[in-house]
Amino acid sequence: MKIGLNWLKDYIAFDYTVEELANSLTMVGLEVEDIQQGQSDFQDVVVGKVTRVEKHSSADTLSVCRVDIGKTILTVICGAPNVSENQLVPVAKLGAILSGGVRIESKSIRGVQSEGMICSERELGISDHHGGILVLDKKDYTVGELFSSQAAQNDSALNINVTPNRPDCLSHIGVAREVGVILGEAFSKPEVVVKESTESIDDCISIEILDSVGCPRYSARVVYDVTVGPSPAWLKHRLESVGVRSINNVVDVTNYVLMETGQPLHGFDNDLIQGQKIIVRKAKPGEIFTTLDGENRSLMSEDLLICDGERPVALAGVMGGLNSEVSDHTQRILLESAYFDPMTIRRTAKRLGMSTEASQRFERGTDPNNTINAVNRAAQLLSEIAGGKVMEGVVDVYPQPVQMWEVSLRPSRITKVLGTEIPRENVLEILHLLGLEIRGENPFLVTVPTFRPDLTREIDLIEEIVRHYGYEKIPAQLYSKMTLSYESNQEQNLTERMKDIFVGMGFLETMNNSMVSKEHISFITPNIPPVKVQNPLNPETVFLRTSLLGGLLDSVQWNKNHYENNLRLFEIGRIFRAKGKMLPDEVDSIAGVLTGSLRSKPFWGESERTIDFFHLKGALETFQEGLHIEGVEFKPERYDALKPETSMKIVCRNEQIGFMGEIRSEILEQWDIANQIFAFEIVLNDLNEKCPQMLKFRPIPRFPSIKRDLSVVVKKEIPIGSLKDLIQQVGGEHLVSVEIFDVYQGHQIPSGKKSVALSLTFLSLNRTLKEKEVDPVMSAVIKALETSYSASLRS
Amino acid sequence: MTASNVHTQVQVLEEEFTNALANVKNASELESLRIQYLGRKGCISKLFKNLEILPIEDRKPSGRDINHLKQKVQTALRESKTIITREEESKPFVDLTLPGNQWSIGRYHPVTTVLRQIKSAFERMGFLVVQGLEVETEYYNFEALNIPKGHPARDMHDTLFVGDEIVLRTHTSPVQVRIMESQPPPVRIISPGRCYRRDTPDATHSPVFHQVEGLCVDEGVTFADLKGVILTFAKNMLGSDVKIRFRPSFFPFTEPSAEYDFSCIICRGKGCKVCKGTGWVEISGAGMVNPEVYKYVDYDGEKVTGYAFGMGVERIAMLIYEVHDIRLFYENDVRFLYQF
Repeated sequence: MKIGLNWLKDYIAFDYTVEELANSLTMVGLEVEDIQQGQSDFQDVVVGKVTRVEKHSSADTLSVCRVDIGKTILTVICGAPNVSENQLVPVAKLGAILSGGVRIESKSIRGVQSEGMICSERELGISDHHGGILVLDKKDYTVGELFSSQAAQNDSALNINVTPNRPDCLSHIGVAREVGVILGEAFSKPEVVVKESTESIDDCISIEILDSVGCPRYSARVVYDVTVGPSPAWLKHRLESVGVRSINNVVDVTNYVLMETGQPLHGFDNDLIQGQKIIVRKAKPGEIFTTLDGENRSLMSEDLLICDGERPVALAGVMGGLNSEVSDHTQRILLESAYFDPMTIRRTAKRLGMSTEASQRFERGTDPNNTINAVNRAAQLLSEIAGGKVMEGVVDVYPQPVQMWEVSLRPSRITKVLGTEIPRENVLEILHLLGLEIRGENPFLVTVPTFRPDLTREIDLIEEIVRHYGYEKIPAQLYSKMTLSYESNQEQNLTERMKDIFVGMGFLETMNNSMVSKEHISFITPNIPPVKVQNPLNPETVFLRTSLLGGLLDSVQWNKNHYENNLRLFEIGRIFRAKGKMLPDEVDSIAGVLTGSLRSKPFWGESERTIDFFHLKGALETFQEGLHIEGVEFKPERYDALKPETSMKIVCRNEQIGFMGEIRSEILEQWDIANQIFAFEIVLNDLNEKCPQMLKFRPIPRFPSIKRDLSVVVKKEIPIGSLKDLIQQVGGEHLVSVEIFDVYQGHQIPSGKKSVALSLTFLSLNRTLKEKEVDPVMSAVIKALETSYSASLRS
Repeated sequence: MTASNVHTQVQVLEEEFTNALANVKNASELESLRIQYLGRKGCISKLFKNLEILPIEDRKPSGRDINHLKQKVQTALRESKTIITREEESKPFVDLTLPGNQWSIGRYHPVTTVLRQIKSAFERMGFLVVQGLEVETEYYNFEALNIPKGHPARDMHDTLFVGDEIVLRTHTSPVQVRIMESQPPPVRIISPGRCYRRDTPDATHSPVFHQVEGLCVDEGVTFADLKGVILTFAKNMLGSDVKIRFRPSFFPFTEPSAEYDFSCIICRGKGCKVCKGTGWVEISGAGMVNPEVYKYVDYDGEKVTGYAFGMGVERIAMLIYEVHDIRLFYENDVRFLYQF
């Protein structure tokens, strides 16, 4: 809502600068988003005095003018009939840019060079008036000064972000009331006096409300003998100062009253109203209505229509109709001033995407008891500036008048909510200046006027009081008496620990959009039912992610496109699985991708090493170790997204918790990625339970261990993991570790075979083991390997 | 042989040794010199052996002379050895200007870093961190927060729908309702998480963003307590000289409602581009829990009072790190991530 500073002064006097006023309003909850300083509208448009006017020698309609702009005198060609000597006029100099972006250039018109342009109101964006040049009042302007229109010159405006609970502040009077409370003074409303003629409105129009829920009140007046034409300067300037374009005196008056009182009005050309009546009814489904802007609107039965005896003439509360619009020839105006149900207007405006000055106010709730005052104000202005005569009487249909209500307010409750006491006199003054009446003492009985539909409870009044008392006067309480809490969020702590581990391993943490494209779903997790976004912003964000991998591939692609191919990325975030009409399953998941060279920066002392499957597996083993999780195994298992040869499931104590492997190239093609990508994903909810709650110390061995190396040759297809498992089975109680330190094929090894070197460590916790105790165990191990895997000992 | 003969011999030897030592060029020459003088068959050993043929009374002073020589030689050799070794050791050329063999270190996403700071600030004040759902019913996201269907306040949120009356939560506030439903007062929680709005991405809007919700409900909780908690939080994040400002505002689920600002962290309140010259930067909204909300969770709004607050994590990260475009947080450009 734009509030003109000068306009505001019509209702309350103040000496604030515009900045001070803006700050004061912001601090009572009327946030000033920006200040429009009253200043020159245009660069290079100056005030000039026409010193000589001569007919153009070769064009009758053109005049060659000499215009004094202070330091110089310009020759300007002018086509306007109203130009004459001694006028003060706005002159656009060469290079000036006018309303609509027109740039003034030096040009020769039929042999005479024009050094500028004398402007009309339209060229300056003041109004649509283009009948001639704008002639300025000599009182207000000086030759040579930068031209600015009267309104801009005198007036600054505040752009206030009015919160949805304050319909009353969508008007100058509403804001004036707030300024009054800030100043501790009452504001004054304009005096409305309507001189009525003897012609009665009742002979002219009748009103019938068929939907009194949608339209609880409809008031109207008729003004006749109106001369439609340009508005007087003061009115144009007023509207211009708050960003409303002047159209003609009738439309301007309705807009003026809207901005002044917050009550939207509509003026019909009464001669176009058929059957001398207005009927307010619901639209028929599919009914088509052409609004003022020329659009055909298809309506539904929830929409409210204003009709005459034969047809709809306005879409109630939103926009008038083309068929009854006020035109230059209009003589009789039917002024509508109604109260419409906020929900009804809101539904219609929202569905049709029509947010108008009127609909914005009706949908927040106008004052049902202000319709008469507003229509009278408009009638008064029309008779003053458009020569109108006001018919006697107001037609007012208001079957169930809305009464003011009473709210009780306990002074003790104010203190209880705020934590500080507000002096009684402040409370009373604030409520009084806000227009509320107070009776009683403890509690106060507060009568709320109908322009404040937001004040219905005690807490609403407390907010009003503290809002004006000043939030800054409430002390920040730094002492707190509170219930001690022993709880902490273990899951959250574990998640953070996981981040520590991956960051420690050199991974970068990423965050990707949770909304993904159709391709993300179909390529990575075709079997998980995804949650579909019904009103997505774009095709890239139509589903909720079922896996974090797609987002990570997006990140890989992004970085690849920016020439970074060596990446270790991870993310911890939520993934979703649809569950029919119920809320979807939401679980947190951790996923990572590895690609490119092992080092993010090359090292001169080493040749570059490319990340392979075992870096992936190693990262997960380190992760598992870092979390002290036991019993994690990796087992071959096919996944759609992974190459079959490296596709594995991650199992923890017989429960599947995730997957890992190299991503299939067909999938990478979708992301336009050519490099190998190794990836994993683990669902955290499954993992959290597997992490030990409490760690237990295991005594450090005090006795030396015995290490034995073993080198065997087996068929190359035999999984070394199985050899290791077998050794652990037969290795006896003292075998504490089996490490694989070499795997070799080639020279000296028969083809089709491989040599595996293992290191076995034996240890007893309570004595020194003897070599001869280990010997039989080693023999048993070798025997078992020979029997089960035809292994031969390599000498 | 007499003591004086020995004395002369010792003097000669000492002179010879001094000359020889001066000509030693490396460790092996030094070693031969050592053997020549101190070896088992070296000249000093020989001198000691010759003591046997001296008269008894000469043996003691001569022995002293020889011992004296031996000590001098030993000391001189030790000193030379240190010098020569040091010289020799420095000989192989190592280019110390080459970069080191780095260990790799990853990075936390800046949202994580800022979230950790926020969480730790509130945990120290006794708040418990809880998680909420990212997909919510309209009931929890709106109705139970006193935003009924058709309420103009719904316009403040451009909502993404995923089902009939199921939405992607537009704020973390549904957690307020869920936590109060699940337990009687007192409640003292914060809840961080992702939120979603149907906003076209630009420098200040992202359809996905993080918020932290805070809620404290107990007997005797006041607006002054809310200001105290926010002030303590501000100081924790930005230092003890930071100031806070509360401005009246409107949220359907709090009353009185406020927007809270911190004094600008860039210019320390003097006025700059970031704060648009006001000295204040807007952080987020807060207020006393609206009694309407208590009705939905069956709390006695006469008995307990409480406050709630929220904040945008990216917004705070943008202020702290002076990041000018929110979209950077979701592009995951490594040139961005490596900076934190």
